[in-house]
Amino acid sequence: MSRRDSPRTDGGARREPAAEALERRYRRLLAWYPHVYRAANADDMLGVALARSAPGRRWPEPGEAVNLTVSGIGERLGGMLRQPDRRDTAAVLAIAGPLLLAAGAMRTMASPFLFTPAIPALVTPERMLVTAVAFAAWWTLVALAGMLRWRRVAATGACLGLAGQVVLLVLAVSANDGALMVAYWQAAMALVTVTAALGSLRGQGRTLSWRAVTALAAAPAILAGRSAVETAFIRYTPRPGTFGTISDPLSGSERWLGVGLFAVALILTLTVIATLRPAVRRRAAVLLLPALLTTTLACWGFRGFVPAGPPIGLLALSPFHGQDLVLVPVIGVVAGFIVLQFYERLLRRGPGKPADAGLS
Amino acid sequence: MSERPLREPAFLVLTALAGGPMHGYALVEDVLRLSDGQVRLHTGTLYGVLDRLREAGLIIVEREEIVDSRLRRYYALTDAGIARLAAEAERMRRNASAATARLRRLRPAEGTI
Repeated sequence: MSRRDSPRTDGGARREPAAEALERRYRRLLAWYPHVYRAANADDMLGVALARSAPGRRWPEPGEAVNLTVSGIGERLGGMLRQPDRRDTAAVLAIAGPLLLAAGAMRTMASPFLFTPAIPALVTPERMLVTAVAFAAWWTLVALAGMLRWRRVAATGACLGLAGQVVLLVLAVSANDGALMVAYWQAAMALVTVTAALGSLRGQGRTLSWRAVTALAAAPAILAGRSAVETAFIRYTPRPGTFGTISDPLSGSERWLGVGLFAVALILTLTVIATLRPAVRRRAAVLLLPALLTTTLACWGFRGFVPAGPPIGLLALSPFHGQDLVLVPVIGVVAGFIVLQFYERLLRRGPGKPADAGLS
Repeated sequence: MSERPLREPAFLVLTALAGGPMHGYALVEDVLRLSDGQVRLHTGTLYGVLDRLREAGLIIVEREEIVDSRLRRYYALTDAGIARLAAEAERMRRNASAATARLRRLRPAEGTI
């Protein structure tokens, strides 16, 4: 409760009239609606809300407060999905998300070939491999459905995939940091995918060509397989009585090979984004930013995720390594959204531009 | 708007507007009366319904007035709205007739048990 809302305790001070207090609180509730909607309807709505209220009330009825809050949030979300550009952006993400998730699952599938028998401590359990195969196949099918514009099938598949990822996340809570981090980001990506798939339900037309989708699929696949190249050069030296030692994966030419593959993946992604319409491109770039930040952080800071083991790499030495991976992408997407909103507002106000130029 | 059946709030709002143009609060009151006190529209719900009906071309803003220094907007049915309400009322009448006929057949059977 803000200070202004707190009951007055100074006795002698003038108490705000009930009608004014009620109106102020209703105005605050109407703030849940988007600015444009409020500018057009707030006065009219306020009149109805006040007229519905019993005389002498200082606070909105709880049911009315909940209704305005839910309706306001719904209007914000609905407003996003009603605009063709946002629907097209959602359609792009509804394909890119499953591809990324499939690549993540493939990364788990590849892990036995990466770390064993070189590092026996990092053996991936068989059930984890079976799960990874199932999820890789599932998300590939969801991406394919999105590409074929079977939007309902894609949305249903994404919802079921999210449910599966949440189950994996719950199971991973008791596991090590590496497994939990992988499950956390897969669940977060699945949530984005579901939102995008639902948002693209009313979309029309194809937003990505098959060539673009191939490039988009290749980028995460390269990132998923990148660690395979790096770890292939790791030499494991067993020592009696200890776990043994491994050679430094950060030294030598393999490091530059890894950097090169990362650059290829980045160029492929940026090329696909560049082929989109400007309004869709802006949004896709902002929404893919967290994935880019996370990947960069995971690849360079942690030398990739290790599904069956603890995180390894430079940042793993930091006491904040878990928080880095959680916070940086979240901050990235929030900052991206704020910048995008600001930019679009500037476009709308720009000289000689139509009122909704930024959204078209 | 697609030809899916109207939801109850939308149907009641159209029915209220069939009585003539009304502003938001008058609609809330009339819907309450029409539904025998069963449906008291919340403000957010009312404006959601009005937006959808306007987008579908079933109602329009007929005029705006300033009352007590506050905007008051009056809504009215369009021709498309009148046709849609008539079609919806007919559909509901057919459904109600079918249900009544089945119930009539069911009641004697119940009596034999």
